[in-house]
Amino acid sequence: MRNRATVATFFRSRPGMTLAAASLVVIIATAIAAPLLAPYDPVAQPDIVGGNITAPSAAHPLGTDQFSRDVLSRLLFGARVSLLVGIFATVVTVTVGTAYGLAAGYSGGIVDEVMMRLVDAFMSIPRVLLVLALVALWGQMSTTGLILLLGLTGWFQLSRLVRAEVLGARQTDYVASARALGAHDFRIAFRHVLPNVLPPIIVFATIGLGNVIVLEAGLSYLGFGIQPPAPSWGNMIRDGSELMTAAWWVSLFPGLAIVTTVMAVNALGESLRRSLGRSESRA
Amino acid sequence: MSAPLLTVKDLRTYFYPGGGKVARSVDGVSFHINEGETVGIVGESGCGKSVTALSIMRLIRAPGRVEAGSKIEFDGKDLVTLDDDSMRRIRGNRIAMIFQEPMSALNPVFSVGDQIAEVARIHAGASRRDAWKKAVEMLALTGIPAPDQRAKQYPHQLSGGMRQRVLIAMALVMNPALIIADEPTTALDVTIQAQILELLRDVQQKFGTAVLLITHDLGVIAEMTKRVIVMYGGEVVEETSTPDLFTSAHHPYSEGLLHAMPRVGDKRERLNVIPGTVPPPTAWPSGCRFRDRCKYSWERTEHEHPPLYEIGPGHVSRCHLADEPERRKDPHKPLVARRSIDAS
Repeated sequence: MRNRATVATFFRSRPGMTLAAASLVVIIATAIAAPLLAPYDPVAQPDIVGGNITAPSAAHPLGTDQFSRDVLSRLLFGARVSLLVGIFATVVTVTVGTAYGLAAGYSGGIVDEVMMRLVDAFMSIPRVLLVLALVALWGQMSTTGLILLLGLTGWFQLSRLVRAEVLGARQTDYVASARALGAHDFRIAFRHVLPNVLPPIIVFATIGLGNVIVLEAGLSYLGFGIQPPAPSWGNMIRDGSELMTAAWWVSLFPGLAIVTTVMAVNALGESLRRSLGRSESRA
Repeated sequence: MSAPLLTVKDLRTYFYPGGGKVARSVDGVSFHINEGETVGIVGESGCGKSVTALSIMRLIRAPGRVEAGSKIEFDGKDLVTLDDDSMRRIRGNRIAMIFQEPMSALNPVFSVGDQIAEVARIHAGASRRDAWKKAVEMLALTGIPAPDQRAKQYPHQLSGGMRQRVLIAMALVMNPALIIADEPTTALDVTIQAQILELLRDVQQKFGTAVLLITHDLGVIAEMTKRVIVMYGGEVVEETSTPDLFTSAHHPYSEGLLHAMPRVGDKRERLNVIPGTVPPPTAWPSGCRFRDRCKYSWERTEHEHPPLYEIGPGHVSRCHLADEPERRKDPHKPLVARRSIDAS
């Protein structure tokens, strides 16, 4: 009862965060419910011979593309792919980055030094170049491959962030106190240090999710990401890119979907950053 | 008499901050604590009190280290050479430490009950439920009202005095043989200080726990201890019974500390201070380490490092005045023996 009241006050005092979170919930819900909501099969090409592009109408609210596929249905199914890749890649990023940063920061000394110089080396290559190079190396990319690729190229900065936070937390009295009580290193790292460095990790994860969605869209746009005919927001824009003047609806709607999602994610990240900031030092 | 509970012998803890410098923060400290005894260590900031405590707990981290040749005997084991796992089983179990800052020594993201329970889980392998019951029981023992409610609260919901009680509860979970309390009351209000000291004394009497009490507050020393060690410049400069320190301190540094204490009804307008500050541990002066600040210093104190002279039964002082008492300008007591008990 008391908790429910607290949650309500929390959201009421943060209208921006509430709006962003609510939009995301709606977007994710529609993605999950895509098979129920989509009026047509996203890959069906009913008029394969004529290749009829039709403008938005009652039958096709967002029109059809050059293969006569329903844009709305593709948009809904594309959301599944884009969000799935984005979320799982972020999970990979957060897991690897946190573990790496925690290990480096907690070990300290030469281990820390070596681990961080390695990260510096990775960071000296722009992420897009790194991703493209790996795609070229890999050839055809499965969805799992894409998730791993995006996840494993995004954790460098997070690991530095986590390491810095861990270095700070390691110096705190409660860590000294835990050690004085006979806790072993593993326990101290996971029970005492990790929970106290979570806020910046959460913020990074949210903002990172936005980046990954854009990156995946970019890759698919270039033809390296999700392969047609499976819809993703990125390859939908690509489908419409040559028809921009004749059939604006083919590219516009997936573009809007990306912009809305990424803006909601970033707004959420930003307000999380503000409310998680340093306010946990209530002491 | 049985062997002391803790014997520290020639403890040297040096720090190597780089640039070829060596900070000799604790430099040849020896003392012992008997079972159930409360011993105080007093001295200014930077004299090596806390480093001594951390060395006993073996919580000194790089760039610091306890030098070879130091001996810390506890329960018949040498804590300096003990393996890490065994040492971990002693911490929080046989020797517990109470930190100075009750504000920051508790983890902000866990309830205090959880944190007390953790000790029982680590050392007694208690189940979640038993550990929680133990935590509530310990909170009750430290005189916190409604302990089962308080246990669920987080550190920021408790006052400073309450948090210090929680830390004491954590220290007592395993009924340790020795509690090291590093300035346990410094961060608290005066009224709370008195309560916390009383609590410490209560539990000490109830469980027969030995206490090593580190403080710069002579009032706390007077109230809590039977025996006191005065530290200066990383060394023990005087050790005696507590009443003795207040009536017949020998070392000029101890004298200075006593005189710096304000007294009720005192007509002085300014407090007495010991001139100067503790020199940095990277550059202790030659001879007597206190000589720059001492009103008696003479030529001998410049080259000859004073040994611990025996002043009386159980009373030693690291001052050449024991050898040349006539140099004390206003001797406040007859000086007795001058036999050195310090071999070095």
